[in-house]
Amino acid sequence: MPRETLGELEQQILLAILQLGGESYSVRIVEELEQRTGREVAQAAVFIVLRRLEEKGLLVSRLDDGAGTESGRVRRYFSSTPLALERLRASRRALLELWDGLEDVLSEP
Amino acid sequence: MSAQRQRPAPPEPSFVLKLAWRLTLDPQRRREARAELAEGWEPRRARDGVEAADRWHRRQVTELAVRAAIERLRRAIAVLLAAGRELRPSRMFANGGLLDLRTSCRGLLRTPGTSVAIVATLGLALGASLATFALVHAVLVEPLPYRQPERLTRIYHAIREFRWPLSVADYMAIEEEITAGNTSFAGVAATATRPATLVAGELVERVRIRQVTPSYFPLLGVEAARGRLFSLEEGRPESAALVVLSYGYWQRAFGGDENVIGRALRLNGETHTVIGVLSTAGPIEERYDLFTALRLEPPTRKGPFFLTLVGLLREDAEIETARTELVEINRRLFPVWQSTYQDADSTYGVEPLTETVVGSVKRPLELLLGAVLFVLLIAASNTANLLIARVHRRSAELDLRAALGASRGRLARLVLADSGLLAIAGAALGAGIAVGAIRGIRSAGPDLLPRASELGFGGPVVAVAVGLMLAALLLTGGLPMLQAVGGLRHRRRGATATGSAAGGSGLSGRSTASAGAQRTRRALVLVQFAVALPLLIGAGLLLNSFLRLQRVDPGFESERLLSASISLPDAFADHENAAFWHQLAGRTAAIPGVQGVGLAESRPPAESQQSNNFNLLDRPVPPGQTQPIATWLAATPDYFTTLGIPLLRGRPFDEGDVPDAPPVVLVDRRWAERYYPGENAIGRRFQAGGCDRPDCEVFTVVGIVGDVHYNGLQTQTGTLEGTIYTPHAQWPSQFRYLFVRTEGDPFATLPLVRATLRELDSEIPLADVASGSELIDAALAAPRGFLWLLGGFAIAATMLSLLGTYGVMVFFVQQQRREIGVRIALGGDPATTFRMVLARGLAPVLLGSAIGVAAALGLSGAIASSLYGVTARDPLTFAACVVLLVGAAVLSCLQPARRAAQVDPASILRQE
Repeated sequence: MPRETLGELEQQILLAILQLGGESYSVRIVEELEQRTGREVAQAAVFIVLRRLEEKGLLVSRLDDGAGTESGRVRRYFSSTPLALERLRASRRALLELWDGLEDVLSEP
Repeated sequence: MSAQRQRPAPPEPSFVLKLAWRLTLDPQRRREARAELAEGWEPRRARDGVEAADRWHRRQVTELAVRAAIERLRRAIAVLLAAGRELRPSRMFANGGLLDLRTSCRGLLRTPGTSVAIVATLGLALGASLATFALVHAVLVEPLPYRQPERLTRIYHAIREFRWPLSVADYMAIEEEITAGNTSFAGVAATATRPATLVAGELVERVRIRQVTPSYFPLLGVEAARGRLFSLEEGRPESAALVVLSYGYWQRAFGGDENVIGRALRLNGETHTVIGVLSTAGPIEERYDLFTALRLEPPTRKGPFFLTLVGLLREDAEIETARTELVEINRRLFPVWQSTYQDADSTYGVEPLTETVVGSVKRPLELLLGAVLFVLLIAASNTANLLIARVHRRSAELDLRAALGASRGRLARLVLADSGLLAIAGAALGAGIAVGAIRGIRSAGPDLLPRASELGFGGPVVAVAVGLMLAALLLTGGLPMLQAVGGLRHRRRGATATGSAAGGSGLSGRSTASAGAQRTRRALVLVQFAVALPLLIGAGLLLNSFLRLQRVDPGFESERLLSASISLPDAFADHENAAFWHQLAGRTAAIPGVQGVGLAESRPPAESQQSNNFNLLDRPVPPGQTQPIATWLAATPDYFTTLGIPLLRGRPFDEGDVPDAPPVVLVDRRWAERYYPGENAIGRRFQAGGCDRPDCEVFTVVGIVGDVHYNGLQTQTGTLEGTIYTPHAQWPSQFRYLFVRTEGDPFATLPLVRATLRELDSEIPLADVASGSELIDAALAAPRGFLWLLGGFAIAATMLSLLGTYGVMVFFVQQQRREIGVRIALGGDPATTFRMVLARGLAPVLLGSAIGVAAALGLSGAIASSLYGVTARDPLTFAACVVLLVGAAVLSCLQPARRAAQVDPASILRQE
C-alpha cells in the first residue's frame, strides 16, 4: 500500500498546531491559519480534517468539557504525534527537491 | 455558569440541516461541532456584526454537513477499495483466503438456523425479483415478435371511452384510402374471431378460429412453415374455403403430419382445404388454432361492428398524424352511411399494437415488479442486519487479529467471506426459483398472460440477475464490513486515546463502535418499515376490494347450475337453427333430475357477447349525437326461471313472442331506473343498432327483470349501464349458451346432456362447460391471483421487518446491559428502563411507518385501477395496516424491553 501523502490543508493544519506550541483547538487554529495565509479558512473544513488526521494517527486529542475554565466552552485539543513530524519532514524534503534550481524562475520580484 | 449560558447565541440551524447533521455526525461530534461554531461565531459578531456572523454560521453548518457526508463516503470507499485489493483473484486465496472461507463455513454451520433463514429469504426475494423482471422484460419491454413491431398499430372505433371493433364499411373505406397512398399507413388488415366446430374424421371439437384478410400475415411478417398462406384473390367472397393451421395446433391435433397440406377439414359444416402451417406464433396468433380467409361482401349498411383492424405505419410516420387522417376519413365517410348509422360523435382511433396486446396487464406487472423489489430491499437489509450482529459477536476475534497485524483489507475479506457465502447460496437458490417460476408461467401460456411464451433468459435478464445479486451482496456484505472495519478504527482510537485523554470522550472505543452498529441497524429497520408499510397497505386495499367483489350479487343463482356453449354449422338456415334449439331445450328438459333449461346469447357474470346502441322514441337523441348503449342478449322464456332471475314488473317472454310477432324486449332494473327514473318503463319503445328510418324495427319494453352482471362482477355504474333482453325466437343465431338447473350435482347430469346433443347431431360439440359456481370463481380469478401475489409479498415484507426490529432490540439490550445495570443499581426504576428501551426500539419503526404512509399515499395512483368499491387512499385500510404493523412491532419489542427491565445489576457488576 503506497504511503499516503498529506493534503494541502492537512499540512497547513499540522504546521499551525506546531506554531501554536504543539497543542491547540479548532477556533484558534482557524485564526492562526487566516492570519498567516491571509485567506479565509472554513471552520467546517478544519473540523473534519482535524478528525481525519486523528484517525490517521497524526494527531491525538483530549476533550475539555469547559467545566471550571474561563470560557466554559467544550473544546477538543489536538496535539501532533511523532508520525506527524515524520510526514511533515518528508513532505518538506519533497517540496525542496522540487524547488531546487527554480529560485531564479520563481523568486518574487 | 448560568450567566454564561445566557450569552448571545448563533442562530438555530434549519430542520433539514439538523437532520443532515444527525445523519452524518455521531452525538459527541455534534456537541463538539456546535460548541466550536458558536465559539467561532462570537468574535465575528463583535467584529462584523450579527448579520454577517449569522451568515458565516449558516455557511459553516451547511458546509460541515456536506463535508461530513463526503468524509463518510470517502471512508466507505477506502474500505471497499482495501477489501477489493484483498479480493483480487490473485490474492483472494493467498494469505489464508481459503482458510477464511473455511472459518466462515464453520461459523455459519454453527448457527444453521440463522444461516438457512438468511439463504432462504435472500433466495426467495432474489428468485421472485428475477422472475418478475423476466416477465416485465418479455411482456412490456421487448418489442412484439413481428417484422416491424414499432410500426404496428390497432385501429378502432372510438365512442366516448370505448374502443370498439369496426365494420366492413369502415374497413373498406380505410383500406381504399391507404391503398391510394393518402395516409401515413403502409398497409392495413382486418381480422375477426368466431366460435367454430371442427370435424375431421372421428375428431369433433370446438376450435379457436381467426378469420383474417389475406393482407394480414404479410403485414405482420409472419410466414408459412409448410405450404403457403392466403393470396390476395382468396379474400374475395366467391373464392374457395381455405384454412391455415397454427404451428401449435398442427403439432397437437395432427402430430406434425407433413401430409396435412391438401387435407379437407369441416369447419362449421363447410369443407375447408388446408393450404399451410404458420411458422411461428406471435402473441396474437398463439391464441388461435386455425386461420381462415375473411371473405368480405360489399356492405349494405354501416354495421355490424366485428372487425379488428391492424395498420402498419409508414416508416417515420407519426401515430398522431395517422390519427388525424383517420378522423378525417371518418368525417368523409359519415354522410355515406348516415341513414344506417347516426352517431357522428363516434370516430376512429389508433393505438400501438403493443398496447392492444399487453395494455391490460401493464399496470399489474409494474406493481408486482415494484412490490418484489421492495421485498428484495427488505430481505437484503434484514440480512445485513443479522450479519452486523454477527460481526459484533466476532469483535473480540477481529480485535485480536488486528492487534496481530491483520490489515483492514484482510479483516474486510474475513467479514465479506460470510456474506459472500450466504449471498452466493442465496443467489443460487434464487436462480433456481426464478427458472422454475419462469418455466411454470411459460407453460401456463397465453391464457394466463399475453406473451407468456416469449419468456426467457435473454441478455438483459442475465445482466439484471447479476446486477441484483451484486447489489444484494454489496448491501448484505458491505454494511457489516464497514461496521467491522469502522469498529476496528474506533477501537484503535480508543486504545491510543486512553493513554493521552484525560477525561476522554466519555465513550469507550467499543461502545462507540456498537453505537455505530446500532445506528446502522436502526436505519435499516427504518428503511424496512418505510418499504413494508406501502406493501401492506397495497395488499390491504386489494383484500378490501376483493371482499367487496366477493359480496357482489351476480344476479343469478349459481348453485346446481350447469352451462355450456353450442355453435351450430354455418350451413343451417335460420329455421333450422330455431328447430335445433327448440329440440335441444325440450329433450334436455326431459332428462331426469333437470329442473329447468334456458338458452341465451351471453353468459353471466363475464361473458357478454354483444352490446347495442338504441334510441328511445319518446326522448330521441338529436341526430349525429352518440346514442345510449346497453348490454344486449337474446334469451328464451325459460332462461329467467332457470337462472332464478326475478320478473319485477310486466310480463315475461312467452310462446307468443315469435319472429312474426311485434318485437318486444325485457329490460333490467338498472336500465329502467337509468332511462325512466321514477316512471314506468313498460310500454316504452325504441329503435336499435343506429337504424332510425321509419321502416326500422321498433322494440317495445314489456317487462322488467332483476339485474344480472354480464361484463364482470366489478362493473359498476357507467356508460354501459343496463341490459336489454330480446326473445330468443325473434333473434335467430347459430350460437347459444345452454343453462341447465339440476336437482343435485350439475356435473352428474353432464353426460346425459352430452348424449342428448349427440343424438340430435353427432358433429356438434358441447364446449366451455362450467358450473355456476365455476363461473363466479372464474370471474374472481384474476383479482384473487393478484391479491395472493401482492399479499404474499406484503406478508413476507412484514415478517422480515418485524424480525429486523426484534433482532435490533435484542442486540441493543445485550449491548446496553451494563448501562442498564448501572442505572438500576443507582436507583433507576425498572418501569422507566422498560419505557426507555421500548421507545428506543419503536423510534425507527414510527419514523419508518410515517415515511411508509407518505409513500403509500404517493403511490396510490398505481393501484387505483385494480380496486373495486374502495378508494386507493381508503383511510380505514391505511389505519388498519398502520395499527397492525406498529402493533406487531410493539409486540416484538416487548420481550427484549421486559428483559432489560429485569436486568440484575449485581450480576452485571460481578461480570465486570
